[in-house]
Amino acid sequence: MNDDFLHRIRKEPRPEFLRSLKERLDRIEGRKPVRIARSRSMRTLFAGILIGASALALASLALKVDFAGVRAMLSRMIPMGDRRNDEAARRDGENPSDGSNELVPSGRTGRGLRTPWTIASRSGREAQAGAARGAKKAAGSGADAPSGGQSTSVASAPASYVVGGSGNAKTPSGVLKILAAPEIEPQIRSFAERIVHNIGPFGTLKMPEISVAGDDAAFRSICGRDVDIVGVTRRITADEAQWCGRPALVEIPLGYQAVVILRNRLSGAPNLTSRDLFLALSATVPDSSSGRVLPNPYGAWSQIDPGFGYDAIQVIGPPLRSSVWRGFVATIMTTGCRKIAAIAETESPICGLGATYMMVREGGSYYEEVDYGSRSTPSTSIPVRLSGNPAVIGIVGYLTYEALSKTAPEMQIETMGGVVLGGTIDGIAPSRDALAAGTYPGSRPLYMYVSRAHIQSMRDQLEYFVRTFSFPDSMSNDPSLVPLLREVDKAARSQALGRLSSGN
Amino acid sequence: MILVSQGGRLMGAESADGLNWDAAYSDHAPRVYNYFRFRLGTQSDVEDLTSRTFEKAWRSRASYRSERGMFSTWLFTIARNVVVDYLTKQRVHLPIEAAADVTTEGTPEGDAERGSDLARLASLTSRLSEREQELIALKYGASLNNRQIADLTGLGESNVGTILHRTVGALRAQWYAVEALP
Repeated sequence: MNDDFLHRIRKEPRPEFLRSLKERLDRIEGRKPVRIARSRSMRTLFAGILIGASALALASLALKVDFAGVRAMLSRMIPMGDRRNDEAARRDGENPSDGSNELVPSGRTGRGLRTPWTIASRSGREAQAGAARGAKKAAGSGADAPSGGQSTSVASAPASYVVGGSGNAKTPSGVLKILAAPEIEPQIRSFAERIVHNIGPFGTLKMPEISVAGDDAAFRSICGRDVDIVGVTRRITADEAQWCGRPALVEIPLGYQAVVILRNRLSGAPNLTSRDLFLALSATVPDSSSGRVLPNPYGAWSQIDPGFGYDAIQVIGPPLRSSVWRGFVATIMTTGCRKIAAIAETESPICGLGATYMMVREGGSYYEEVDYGSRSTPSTSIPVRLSGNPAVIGIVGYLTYEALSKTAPEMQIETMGGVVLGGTIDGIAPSRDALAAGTYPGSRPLYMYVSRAHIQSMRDQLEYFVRTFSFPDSMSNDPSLVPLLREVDKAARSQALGRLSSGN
Repeated sequence: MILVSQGGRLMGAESADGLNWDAAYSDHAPRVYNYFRFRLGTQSDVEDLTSRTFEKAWRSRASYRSERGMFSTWLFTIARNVVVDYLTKQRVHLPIEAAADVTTEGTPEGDAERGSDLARLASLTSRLSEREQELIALKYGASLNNRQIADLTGLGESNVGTILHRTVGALRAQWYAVEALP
């Protein structure tokens, strides 16, 4: 590519400018207290790791040489099984991961959450029996019995959080297999890479196998015992739960995905329906009389609804490959599509991501904005563009909207260049209450389902992963992902985790 | 290693995250400077925006974590925010007229030529979309590679390459068409 003419335009800054700027920078103090706090915490972490590694090495040595004194001391510190039983179990081949003093996933003692990379002190049979005893004890003790170190009890967990049934589990590989929707997969992958990076060197943790899949495929896979965890953008249906049998899955609410529409204050808040937005943005629409699929003929909002005025349809939002756009299509566009009578009468599933009516139109009605905000930093480009053109509608992730909101109840968003307003969709304003209640059309709930098929052999890995996974991931920049909002949802999540711990 | 002076200022060449901030400044100052030149199509305010970017970065340098991404990605995220803020205040997206307002340094002939080229580029890029202007500035002003641009903009790396190839082709055709005029 001949681009010399562009390279020629570069120019070195004036040396005196660079010098004076450097002098000014040298006088700027960094935020030292934060760094000190972090380095202290890093030192603490490092010391903890050293102590833990030393303990493991000592335990390993004691088991190797059968040094009675040390072993007795360690027995008091760590619940240890009889080594002879370990060896017998190893000979029986009961647990392929057992058999030496190496670090392998072990059974749960019922005394709190352990990482799955602690020393294997009991045979597979004993570990399973211990887990069963722990579960039985937890179940028997009812509401007072803490499960897995959590304050929630197994007995109090709602039945709705256990779905599906037992079956012939396929042999576990020792590696967690995870399928997730495109919105959730980056969160899970980022988290998994971090824990493998941080903990893996000290144990036998392997990187989970993580793949992207749609919700239908994810449920088919987990019910077919092909994967251990799925991250999905909808709740399991009754039919799917029935197909899974009972009780095969544990349902864990993660949070929500939500998008918001904005407009310049001069034009007022955009109060649109999902049908309006679908007709404005879909590449094709059905002919009202013949039902045939036609290229979108609407150029102005007034053609969709005479009450809207004659402004040309212009919408600015996230790139079409972004998670925020997928969320917009999966919620508002899909809902709007289904509200078109000519479409609703057909039986084929033509509304949804990748379906007939879900391609965005070309020709200047939709503008992709690369700077569409992040979880911590609101988009400045979209509000700026809206402030410059009162006729344009903007689409942003919910957290961008919330971060920009000066006073959330009035939905006022002030930027340096002007003021824009958040709008309603189907008459519902975006709010945390509306998201939690499931009434806002621009949002959808996100869930994680955990298979119980391999629960006996992989309990600690599964539980450690699920319990420590925080959503949205701290490294995520997706401004449309919203964590759990209501206390009741958080409690339900805790109860589901408790149920996973108990093995019930 | 952090060396702290009596004033509590970070002094050492290398900080806890392993980044040599002095070297980072030397390496990136010309790139940030040229990013603003390409982005604005003018010489005016470029030094001011460059200063603002580095001052913001230096004030929040404790928040930089090398494991989260490259320094250039972090710095140019700040630079992009600075330019958006600037354009918001100025409400000027096409500063072609201002392109003539060049502060001349170096040899008068060379600067005049460069200033002229910059003005020509500004007039050509004014016909491009915001995204294309941004990609051109990041590629040729900031000297970032396609991978770094993809990280910054959220576009796919191949998409960045495609857009740049198309845009540069169009610019080149117009550039040499103008030169061919009598």
